[in-house]
Amino acid sequence: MVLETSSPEDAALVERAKADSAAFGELYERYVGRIYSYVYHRTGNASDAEDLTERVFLQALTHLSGYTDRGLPFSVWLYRIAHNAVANWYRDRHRHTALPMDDARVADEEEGAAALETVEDVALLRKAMALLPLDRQQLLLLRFSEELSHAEIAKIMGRTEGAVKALLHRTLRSLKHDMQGAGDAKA
Amino acid sequence: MRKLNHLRALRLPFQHRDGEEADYAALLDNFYDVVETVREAYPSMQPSPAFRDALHARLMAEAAWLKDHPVASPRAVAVKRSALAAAALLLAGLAVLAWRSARSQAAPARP
Repeated sequence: MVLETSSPEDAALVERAKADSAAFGELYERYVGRIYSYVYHRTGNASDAEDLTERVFLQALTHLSGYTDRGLPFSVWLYRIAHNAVANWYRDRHRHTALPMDDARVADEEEGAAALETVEDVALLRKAMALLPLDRQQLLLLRFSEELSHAEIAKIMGRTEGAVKALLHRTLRSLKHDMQGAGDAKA
Repeated sequence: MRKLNHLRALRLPFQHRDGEEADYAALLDNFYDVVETVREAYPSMQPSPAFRDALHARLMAEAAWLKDHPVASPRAVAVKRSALAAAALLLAGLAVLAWRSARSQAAPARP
């Protein structure tokens, strides 16, 4: 299994953070954006994303003394806490929230045929992704937005690396099929 | 062509990160439209500066509190529970032994 190891800076910072709150503050500043973005895309709204981001870092702070660096990057440890927090959030609410449909950022893109095509593609894909099972949405997010490796995703999702690769392939194939179907229908 | 070059640029970070490039490159080639669109669908979101600062302040306060009231690690809790369970078992064993010994003394001697 190929796994990105902890960066030396992270490892040293984590060790310092066990005794020094300022070092934990540095870790927080380093990862708060990534964790918030991940949680935001999983919950679909800023309010829940803020709530869960807060829980993730409070839990990380409380359990930091139990974290031992065995080559598992600190970021993966944080994502795993976030993964569990989001799973609990879904369990508590018994709901399946669609992906955020706020396309303001996409709509702000440059005008022109290429941009229009992209906006339409994104809208189609968002609809298709919103219908995917939650684990597949999470997989796409971790792979293509957070840019984690298969091995890192396997650790976060509690699956084997092979299972993650197979699921990714099936998911992409299904999305491609959906997009082609929508494209054919448009034509 | 522009789209393909854009995709190659996106692929670069993976090439030095892990040994999966061959598999991953094949996957990207097969699904490059989908992959690119998935990336578009997941723009990086950032928390508001006010939330970010407020959480930072709360974490620092929690860290100060934890320094004065350290939380036992899960391993320490497990060790404590095991020790308590072992002590309970030992006491139960001793109680059984004492009871049996008392019963054998109290029983009338057989002829």
